[in-house]
Amino acid sequence: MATVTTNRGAGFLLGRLDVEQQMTPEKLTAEQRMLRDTVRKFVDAEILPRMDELETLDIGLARELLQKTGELGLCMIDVPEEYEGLGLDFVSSIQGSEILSLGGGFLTAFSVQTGIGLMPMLYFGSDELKRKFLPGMASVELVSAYALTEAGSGSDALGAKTTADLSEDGESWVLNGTKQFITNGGFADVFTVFAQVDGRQFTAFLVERDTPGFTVGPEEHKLGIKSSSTTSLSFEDCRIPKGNIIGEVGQGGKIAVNVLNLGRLKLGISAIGSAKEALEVSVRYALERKQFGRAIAEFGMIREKIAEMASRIYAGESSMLRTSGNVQEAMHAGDEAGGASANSAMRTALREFNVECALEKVHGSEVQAYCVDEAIQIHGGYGFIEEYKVARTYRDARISRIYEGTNEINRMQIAGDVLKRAGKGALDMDAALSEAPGSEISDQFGALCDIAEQVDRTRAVARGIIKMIVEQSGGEGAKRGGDQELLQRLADIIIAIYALESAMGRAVQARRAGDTNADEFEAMTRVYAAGVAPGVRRNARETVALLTADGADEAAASEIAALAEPPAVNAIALRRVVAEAIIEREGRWFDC
Amino acid sequence: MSRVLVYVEHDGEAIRKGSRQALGVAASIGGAQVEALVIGKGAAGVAAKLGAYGVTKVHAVEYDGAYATGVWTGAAQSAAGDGDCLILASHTSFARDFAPRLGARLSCPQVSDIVELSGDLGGIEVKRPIFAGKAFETLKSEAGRLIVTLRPNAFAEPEAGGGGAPEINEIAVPEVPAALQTTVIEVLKPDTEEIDLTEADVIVSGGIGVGGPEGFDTLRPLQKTLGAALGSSRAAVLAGWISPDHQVGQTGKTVSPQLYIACGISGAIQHRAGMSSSKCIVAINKDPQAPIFEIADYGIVADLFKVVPAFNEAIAKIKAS
Amino acid sequence: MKIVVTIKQTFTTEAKIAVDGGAISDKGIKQIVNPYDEFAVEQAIKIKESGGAEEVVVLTIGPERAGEALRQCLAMGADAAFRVWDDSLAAPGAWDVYATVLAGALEKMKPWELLLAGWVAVDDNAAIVVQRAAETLGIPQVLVVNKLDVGDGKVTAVREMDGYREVVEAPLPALVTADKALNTPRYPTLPNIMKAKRKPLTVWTLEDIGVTAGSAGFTRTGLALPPAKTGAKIVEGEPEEAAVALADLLHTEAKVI
Repeated sequence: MATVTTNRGAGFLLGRLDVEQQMTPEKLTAEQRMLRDTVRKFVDAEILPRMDELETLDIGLARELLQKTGELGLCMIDVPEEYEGLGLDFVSSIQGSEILSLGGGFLTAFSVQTGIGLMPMLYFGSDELKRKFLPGMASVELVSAYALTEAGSGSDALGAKTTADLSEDGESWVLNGTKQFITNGGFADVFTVFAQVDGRQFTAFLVERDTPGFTVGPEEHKLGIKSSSTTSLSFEDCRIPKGNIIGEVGQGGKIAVNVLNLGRLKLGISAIGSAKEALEVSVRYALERKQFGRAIAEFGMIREKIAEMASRIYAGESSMLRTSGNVQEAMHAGDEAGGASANSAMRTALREFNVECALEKVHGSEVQAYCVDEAIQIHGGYGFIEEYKVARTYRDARISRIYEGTNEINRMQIAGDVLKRAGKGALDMDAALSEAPGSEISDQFGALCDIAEQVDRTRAVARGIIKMIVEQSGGEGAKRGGDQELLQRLADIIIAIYALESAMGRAVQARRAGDTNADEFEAMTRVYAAGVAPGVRRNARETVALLTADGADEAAASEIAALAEPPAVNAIALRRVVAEAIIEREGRWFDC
Repeated sequence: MSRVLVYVEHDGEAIRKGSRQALGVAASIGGAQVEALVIGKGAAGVAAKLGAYGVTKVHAVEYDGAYATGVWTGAAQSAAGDGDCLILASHTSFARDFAPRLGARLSCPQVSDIVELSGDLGGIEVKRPIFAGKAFETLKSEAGRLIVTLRPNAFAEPEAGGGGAPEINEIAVPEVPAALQTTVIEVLKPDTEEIDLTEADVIVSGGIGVGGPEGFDTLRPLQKTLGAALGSSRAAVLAGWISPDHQVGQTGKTVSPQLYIACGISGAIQHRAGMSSSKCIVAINKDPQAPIFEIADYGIVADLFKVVPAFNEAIAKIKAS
Repeated sequence: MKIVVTIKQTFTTEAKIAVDGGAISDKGIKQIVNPYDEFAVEQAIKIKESGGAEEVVVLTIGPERAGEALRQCLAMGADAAFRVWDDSLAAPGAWDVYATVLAGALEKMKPWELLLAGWVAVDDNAAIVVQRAAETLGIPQVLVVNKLDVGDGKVTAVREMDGYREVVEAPLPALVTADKALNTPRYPTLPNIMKAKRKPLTVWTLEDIGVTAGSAGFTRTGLALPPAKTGAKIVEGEPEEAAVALADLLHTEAKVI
């Protein structure tokens, strides 16, 4: 099977990973590690001691702390130097997103400021708009917000009802409508607002807080991330300058989708950060808590939870860095193009990796959900009491599977986009399909050749299913796009391939580099592999059952089912090895 | 026969406890000829007492001024002389200051803050805590000249016996060149005469569980009954309830008392780093999960405001009987 | 005026210590600037910011990874960094050798007026090396300082003694070692982290500084973790009863009262 050296979106479905090209946490630069330290110190010194105040939604304090992240330079990473930013690489920009997850709801304010609040302006704004607003947004003199959702349009974002009409004198846009669930609404200064021009051309605008006709509603009372501000916004004949349009009329959908891509990736990374914290807190608790005269960390069921948490975090972290590295490379290529084409190349780069970004969001948020849930379970009754930190972590995590596109919408995007590309021939599902999975696996995967084979087989399962769907849809893949259950299962198989392959590639690199953690990386890769295999089997079987009922080739179906059979492994023994390593280091295993 | 020189610290009359412990270590080295160095006001009087610890010769420097690095280093250099010599001192602020410089002058190795010593010159072995007591290393030296500072309270205090009067070698106050002169402008004594934490036999210590500055008042009677020093956790210091002078732990004082009573202290690793080598640790805490119970010898899971007054009464009764 | 700050890279204070093959294992352990050295670096930068010095230079003895600690000091605001290393320096117990090396490097770095350092390294707990080097260099010292003024060719510092403090003066050049109340170290901002990348970091061999290491005064013959405690004996009962029972146990069983 071919090795995919091209850095293409969804390319991982075509062939094997080029291991050396994969970005890993071990490859972070000294500066990136120092940046992590700075953010961690900031969280410890400034956020955690004031968590109680923040949780009562002290907006003044939230703004003050957000501005401090600005002073540290954390919000100017993505902003080019010509707009008074630092113009650094994308991998640097995700470091803050991960570590600020320790600050609970504060992260949400930061994520909007550096993500969806900033990116429409950054990638689509006119030079004039950028000169006026970007420096302030980079230094956090201006707090930003992103207003897409409305009461009647959540996942169906393009169905928004807010309107924008050109004034009679042609000098202003006049906005009317209401937005809902707007993060940072309570204290933002500038808002990216999406509205329909002429009733059907979805368009983005920049609205300043003090504009007449613009009002901010009361704060919502939320289940979690209580320290973040969430309000409605209303526009009543709200007139903004004609130049405050972001991009062009009708470009709103593209802007919304593209900036959400990076937002989703960063959200996935933050979710992994929060999962790491849940693991550490849980292991420390399990070491302290004694029952039947022994620390509960000695008990098999607790150890198995710890091993599973760690392995999922490891796989999640590995895939996040892989995607971030690929996105960074594509952006860099865009930058090289220079001039006016730079932005357009950048936007292409964002679009290119929409499958990966969506899957990181789903996977990261679900690893987080698993970890915060098991964290409560390990804490037992104490986990249910607010005095212990895990209760807040648990509540704060719940939103991750909902915002920036629900996990359902993201699964639709993962499978839907792959099918669309395959239908167009952009992902050639025929090529190399004839080659047997596991063929010509050389020592490039070291001790993990069996895992490489499992990845191959799972990839073949996905490709077989994609091919069947495309065939049934008359070569386009669109027809069965309405079968959400099908798309969900395909998406889950795709996620398993990508995450497992990333976990494996990182372990292989660590072994080659003589990294002292290589043993543990290999063990966690194996635990993760054992964990995803049964799900792949079920998803594959259920999918081909439906497809064959609708006339797909039965021989191909049974071939797919056979490929999806889990390899026989001693999963309990593997988890014991991982648990031992994690507990040995008191849960402080992943740097954060 | 080896020569051991003990630096003896004093207040003009009494010998500091750590120095007495150092004299005990010197006497335990088989066949050693024990000498002492005494510097300061009243040196001669202190020197006369040292025979009781087996000291046969005292190098005495009668000196009126405050501690000065150059004076102490110079005097120690004279006392050490040229030949082989094991120099012992308690790891006090004075010794911390002059011992490394003495090592440079004598071109001999130094090891600090040790808790065990065995062997003799030419084959001496010491054990010392590293990583804030999270590990212990054993080090060996074959040097004929060596400086060793001892952790206060890590060694037993010897019985004063009836040795004869030591020979006194008076040393003139060493000249210190102007470029090396440090001048004490002012001595800032603490507001109250507290017992020094590092040398205390008993420490009563309060943490976040005492609830506020007035919470320490609950501990004071017990402290008085036991003749103890008052300690605290970093959290109580950060909260502003007590002055940093009392802080025990990684960034505070490291202590090894006979008895350490932790009241309302959860026992964060940073605190444990400063007190885990105490001989007997007592923890009083409402939270049964508090990590302090892991390293404590005795514990009571209850409100300290109920336990401490009753405990104090009970101790007072025992002391009275 | 030029200030030299000597620093050491150490494990984070939360690190769990494990022994592997007769040595302390650094596997998976995050390494930082020794916390007391960080106070010294902060103080040096403060002095420079207030116009009291033109240049702050950091110096360490350490292997390649110690360069990261130096980079952090540069990101905090130091102007240049120097690292001295030779593989023969890896063995523990070589404080005498380290002092010789440090003195050699400091000699080569002259002229400077103020030498700052943390009062102790949290890993080896020795508090020997820099004082010993100061003696070799012929400069005075004020140790464990929580307040520092520099001016008129002298330092005026408040130093911690056992149970009291002293205000001490010493002529420059001098060594001052920092305690925790001296200041609150800043954490580097991202723009400064990036600037630090362009600041000079010079690596010296022993030959470069004209020093022959010689053999160490001590060799390590053993390494052990403290014996594990089995957990407290919990005295049960109503608080008042438990208190009486505890007093009795301390008297009769533990014999500490």
